[in-house]
Amino acid sequence: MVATASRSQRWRVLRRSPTFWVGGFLVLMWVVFAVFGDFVTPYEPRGTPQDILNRLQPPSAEHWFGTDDLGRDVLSRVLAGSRQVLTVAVSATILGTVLGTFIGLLIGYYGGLIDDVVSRVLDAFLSIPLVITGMLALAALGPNTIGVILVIGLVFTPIIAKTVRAAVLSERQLDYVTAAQLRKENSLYVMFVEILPNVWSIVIVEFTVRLGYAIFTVLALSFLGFGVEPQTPDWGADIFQHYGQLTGRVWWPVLFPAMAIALLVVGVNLLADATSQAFE
Amino acid sequence: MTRFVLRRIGLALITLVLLSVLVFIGTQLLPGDVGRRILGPFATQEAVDVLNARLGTDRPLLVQYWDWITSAVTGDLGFSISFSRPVTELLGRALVNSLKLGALAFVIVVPLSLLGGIVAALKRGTFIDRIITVGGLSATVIPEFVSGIVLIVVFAVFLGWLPGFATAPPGSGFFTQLRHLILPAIPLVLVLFGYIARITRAGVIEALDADYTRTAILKGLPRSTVIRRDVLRNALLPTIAVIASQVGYLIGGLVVVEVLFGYQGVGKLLFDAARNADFPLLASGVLVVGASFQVSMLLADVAYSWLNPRIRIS
Amino acid sequence: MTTLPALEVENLAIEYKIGTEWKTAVRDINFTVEHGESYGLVGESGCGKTTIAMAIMHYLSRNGRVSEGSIRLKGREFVDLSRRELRRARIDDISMVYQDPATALNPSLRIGTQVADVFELLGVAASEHHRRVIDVLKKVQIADPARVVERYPHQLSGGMLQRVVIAMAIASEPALLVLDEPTTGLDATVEAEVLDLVASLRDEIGTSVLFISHNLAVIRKMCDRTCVLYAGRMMAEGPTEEIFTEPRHPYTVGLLRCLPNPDVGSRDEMSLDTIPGFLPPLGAEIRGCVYVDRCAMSQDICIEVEPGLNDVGGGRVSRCHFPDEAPNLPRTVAADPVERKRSDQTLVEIKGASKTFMQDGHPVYALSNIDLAIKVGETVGLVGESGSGKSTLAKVLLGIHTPDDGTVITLSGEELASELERRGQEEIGAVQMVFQNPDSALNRRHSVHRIIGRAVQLLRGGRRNEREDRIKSLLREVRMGMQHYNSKPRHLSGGLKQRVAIARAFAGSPALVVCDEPTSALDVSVQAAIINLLSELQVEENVAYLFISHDLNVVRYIADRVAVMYLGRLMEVGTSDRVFSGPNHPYTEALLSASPELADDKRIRLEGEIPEPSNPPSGCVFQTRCPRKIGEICETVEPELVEAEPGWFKRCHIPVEELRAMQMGASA
Repeated sequence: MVATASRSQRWRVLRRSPTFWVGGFLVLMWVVFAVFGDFVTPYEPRGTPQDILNRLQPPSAEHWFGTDDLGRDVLSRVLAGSRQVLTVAVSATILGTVLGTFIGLLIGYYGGLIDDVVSRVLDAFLSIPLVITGMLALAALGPNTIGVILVIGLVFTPIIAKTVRAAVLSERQLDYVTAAQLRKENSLYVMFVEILPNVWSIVIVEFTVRLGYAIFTVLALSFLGFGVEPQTPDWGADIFQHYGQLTGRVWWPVLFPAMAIALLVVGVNLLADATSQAFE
Repeated sequence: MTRFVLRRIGLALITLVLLSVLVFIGTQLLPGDVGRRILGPFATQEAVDVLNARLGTDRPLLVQYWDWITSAVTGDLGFSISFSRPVTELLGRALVNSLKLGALAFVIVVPLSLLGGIVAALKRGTFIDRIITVGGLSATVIPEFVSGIVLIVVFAVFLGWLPGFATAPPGSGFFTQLRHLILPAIPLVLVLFGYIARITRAGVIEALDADYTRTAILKGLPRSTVIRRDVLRNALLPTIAVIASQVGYLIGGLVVVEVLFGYQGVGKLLFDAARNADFPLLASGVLVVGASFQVSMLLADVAYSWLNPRIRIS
Repeated sequence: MTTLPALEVENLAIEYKIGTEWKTAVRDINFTVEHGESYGLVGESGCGKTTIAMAIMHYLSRNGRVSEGSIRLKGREFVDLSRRELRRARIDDISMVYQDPATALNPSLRIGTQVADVFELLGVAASEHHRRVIDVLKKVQIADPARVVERYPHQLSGGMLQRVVIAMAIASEPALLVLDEPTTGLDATVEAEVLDLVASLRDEIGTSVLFISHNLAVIRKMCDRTCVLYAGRMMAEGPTEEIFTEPRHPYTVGLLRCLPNPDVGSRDEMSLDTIPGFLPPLGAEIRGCVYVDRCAMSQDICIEVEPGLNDVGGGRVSRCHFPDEAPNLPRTVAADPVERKRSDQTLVEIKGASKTFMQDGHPVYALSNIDLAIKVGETVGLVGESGSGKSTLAKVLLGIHTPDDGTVITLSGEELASELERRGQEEIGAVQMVFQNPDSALNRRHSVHRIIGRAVQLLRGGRRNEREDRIKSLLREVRMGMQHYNSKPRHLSGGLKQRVAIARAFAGSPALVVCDEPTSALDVSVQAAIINLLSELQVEENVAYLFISHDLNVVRYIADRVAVMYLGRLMEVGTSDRVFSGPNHPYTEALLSASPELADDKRIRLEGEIPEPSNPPSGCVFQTRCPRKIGEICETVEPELVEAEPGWFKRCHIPVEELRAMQMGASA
C-alpha cells in the first residue's frame, strides 16, 4: 500500500485545515504591512521633531492608537514595526536552516568521529539559552540589524542541525543508500541528491517552527534593549520604552504593540502547526 | 546501566569543557580591551595598561583561560567590575532567587502540561484535543514580556490583586514571597506548557496504538488498568527527557521575566552584566548557567535509564 | 449431546472509511469453527483475513466497522455486546496470539506480572498466582519458568516470547484461540517448535483454533478445514487436505502452482507458474467474479454474474462457475525450463573469511573462517537462521563490511580489495546486490529511470543516448513496460519495485549478484514471477547468484549448490540434490525436518536457543543443541569442514556412513 503522501495530497490536507487559513491570513497581513508600510501608515513612524508637543495622547480620532512619549503615532509605529521583526526573523531562520541542514547532512552521513566531535560542540552551544547568547553577542556588537540576523541565525543552527542529523541517520539505514555505495557513488551526491530530498519535509517543518521562535527571540532581545538601532519602529523596543508608564495608567503605547506581537506569533504558529500536520 | 551512566557523565564533562572554551572565546571576541572599557575613552594609555596588568588581561590567552577555569572549579569565579563584589557571592544569591521562581513555574507547569497532554491524547480528534494542542502551542510562542505586561496591566494595575514586581520586602515570610512570584511565574508556565503537552500527547497516542496495549485490552483488562499500566507507564517515560530539555527555555525566559518584574535573579544579573560589559561576571555567569542546564539534562538521562528496564538491565 | 460450535460467522461484511466514504473490504463471509476444530483462513496480503480476525476480536480500527452479519461465540451473539460482557468474553472465552511477540508485550513489566494478570482476571486467589504462572509456563515448554518470570521482554528471544504469549492465551482454557500469523517472524526451527506446541496444546485442552496465515504449508499442517480468501471474499472452503490435493478453484490452483515444492523439482525441470495481474482496489464495485481479471479460464458469464459458493463434493465449496475445470487451469507461464550452459570455471573464491564486530566492548564473532567458491553462472544457495552470519558473509563479499585480516576474496583470479572504496569501477559493477525489501531499496523520491539511469551512468558509462538505450533494454529484460519510465516507487506494486531493483543490479552487466531474501517481502504469486525472472536472467546474462533465503523450498528449486551456515560457520556444503536427499549434517537434518513440505513424519526437535555470536560454545558450535551429539569430543574439539564425499562437505565428527544409518536406516 502507498506509504508516503505526494505533494498534491499534502496540499489538499493543508487547504482543508482551518489553522492554515487563519494562520496564513494573519501572517500575510503583517507581510503586506511590512512591505507596503510606507504607503499605508497615516503618519511618519520615525516621528518629526514637532511631535514632542503631542506626547502621550490617548487614542482619539486623529490618532487611533494614541501617541507615544515622543509624540509619535502609535498606529504607524505598530504597522511599520512589522518590517523590522519579519526581516530579521525570516532572514535569521533562513540562515540557520541552510547552515543547520548542511551540517546535519554532513555529520549524519559521515558519522563516526566527525559526528561525535561536532555533536559535542553543538551540545555545548545548546547548553546556553538562546536569549543569553543573543544578549552576549549583541552587547558586543552594539545596535546592528545585520548583527542580529547573524547571531540568531547562528544560534539556531545547532538545533536544526540536530534535527536534520536524526532524520539523516534513519534514512541512512535504508537500502537505497547501500545501493548507492555499491555503485561507488560520490558522497556529495548521496547526501544531496539521494538523502536530502527525503528529509526535505522535516526541514520545511523545522523552518516554520523555528520561525516562530525566531520572532520570539528577536522581540525578547529588542525588549531587553539589544540590537535595535534607535528610532527604528520595533515592537519590543517600544514596549520596553513605555512599560514604566503603566503605573500612570498609560496603557496604549504598550498594549497595541503587544497585541500586534500576539497576532503575528499566533499566526506563524498556526501555520507551523498546519504544515507539520500536512507533512506527517 | 552503570556503564551507560558513566558514559553519559563523561559526555557531559566534555561538553562542559567545550562550553567553557566557547564562553571564553566569546568574551575574547568582544571588541576593545578590558582596561579601556572600564576606564573609558578619555583615560591615558598608561593607566589602561596598568589596569590591564593588574587585572591580568595582558597575559597569553591560554594562561588566562587556565587561570579562570581552575579558579572556577575551586569556587572563585572572579570579581565583578560593575558591582564590585566577588562573582561567586553575586551568583550565589541570584541562583537561589532564580531557583525559587523557576521551581514555582515548574511545579505549576509540569503537572498541568502532563495532564493536558494525556487528556488531549485520550480525547484525540475531539474539540478538547484541538483546544489543548492549538491553544498550548499558541501560548508557547507569545513572548514572556508580552504576557507579562498583560498580566501586570490586568492584575496589578487595574485589579490590584497581586503585586507587579517580584521582589518581596526583606524578611517576608514564605507566603508573601509566593504572592510576589505568582505573576512572574505565569509567563514562564505559558511558554513551557505547549511543548511539553504536545510531546506528552504524542507519546500517549503512540502507546495507545501500540501492540502491547492491544494485548492488554484483548486479555480483558479493564480500561483504567490498561491506561495506567500500559499506556501511561510507557508514554510518560520519554517525557522526562523532554521536560529536562525545557530547562533551557526556562532559563532564557528568566532573563526577560526578571528584568520585567525587577527580580534579582540570574537572568537580571546577566542582563546587567551584558549591558555593563562586565566580563568576569558575564563569563562565569554564562558558564554556571550552561553547567546547570547540562546537569539537569544529565539527571534526567540518569533517571530515564533507571526507570527504563531496557537500559537498567542489560 | 451436541456441543455448540465455538465460532459461527454469518454473512459478515466489514467496511473501512477511506477519506469520507465507507468502502466494503470484506463481504459474504460465512464459516463455522466447530468445537475442538482447527480452522484456517489463508490468503495473500489484502485478502481480508486480518480484518476478519480483528472483527471477531471486536477490535477493528477506528475507521472500520461491521456493516452486516453476525458473529456468534458459543452460540452467543458477539457483535453488540455491552462493555462488561465483552470483557467477560475476552477473559473466559476467546484469546489471541499475535504476529510479533516482541511488541505484543509491555516492555516495562516483568513477564510474571503480565501472565499473572490472566489469573487475576479469572478470579484466582492472589496466593495462587505464582504457582499457576509457573505451571502454565511449563505447559508451553519453557525450561526454566522461575527465571523467565523475573525477566523483562527485551531479555528474551522471539521464540520464548511467543511461548509466553501462547501461555497467556491458553491460561483461561478459552473456547476459541485465534492465531494471526503467529510464526511469521520466527526462525524455521523455532517456528516448527511453536506449531508443534500449538497442536499439542489443542489436543490437551480441546480448544478450537482459528489460524490465520499467508503460508499455505503451515495452514496445511495445522488446520482441519480451510478457507481461501481473495479480495475480501471466500473463494473456496473445505477439509484442508482436499483443498490442497484436489483444488476446485482457479485461484487455489494458481497459488499451489506458484510454490516450489518437491513435486515441481528444480528450475532445470520446470518453470514456476504465476498469477498475472493485480488485486482489485479496496471497495471496487465488481459485478461478476472478483477474480475474473486474473483468471486464465474466465468466460463471459464470469464477467457478468458473481458465482455463489457451489458445493463440489467432499465437503468443499467453491465460488466459481466452473469448479471442475479448475485443475486444468491453463498455465500462464510455459512449463518448459530454460536451457542452461553450466561452467566449471571458478568465478569467486572466498578463503578464510572472518568478521568480528565490536559491540559495547565485547567481540561478536559473526563469521569464522569461511571457505566458499562460486562458479561462473552458478547459483549457490545460502541458508541459515538468525545469527548464522549469512548476511554478514554477503556484505563482506560486497565490500560493505571489512573482514578481519587473513580473509582473501578473489574475483576471476584477481584479488578483490576488502574495502569498497578501494575497488575499481569494473570490479564494483561485477558484484551487485538485490535487497530483501523493495521499499527500502529504492529511493522514494527518484523516478524509475533515474534509479536505473544513475547505476548505468556509474557502472557502465557511455554517452547520453547510449545510456538511455541501456535503461530501456534493462526494463525490457525485467519484463517491465515503458509506461513506468517516469513513475516513482510509490506508484508501483511490490513486484514491480523488485523488478526495478533487479534492473538496477544488472546495469553494469555483473558477473555475480547477491540476492538477499529477494522474495521474502512479496506475496506468493509475485514470488514465483520474480524467481522465474531471476532464473531467466541468469541464463541470458550468464551471471552467478549467491542466493540467501530462509525458505528451503525456494533454495531447493533455484540453487545448484547449497551451503548451510550456523553461528558464522559452514556446517554443510554440497549440490542441491545431494543436500536435499541426505544424509545430512545434524543441523541441516533439523532444518529440513522443520519445513512442513520437506519433512517426513518424524520431526527433529532442537533443544535450547541459538547461542549468541558473542559467546559461541566450545568445541562444535552446534553441540549445545545437537540431537546426534556423540560425546565429549563434540564439546572439546571443533570439527573441520571436510569433503566426506566428492563435492559434499560436512563439519561434523560423525562419519557419513553413521549419519546415513541414523537418518535413513530403520527409524522404528
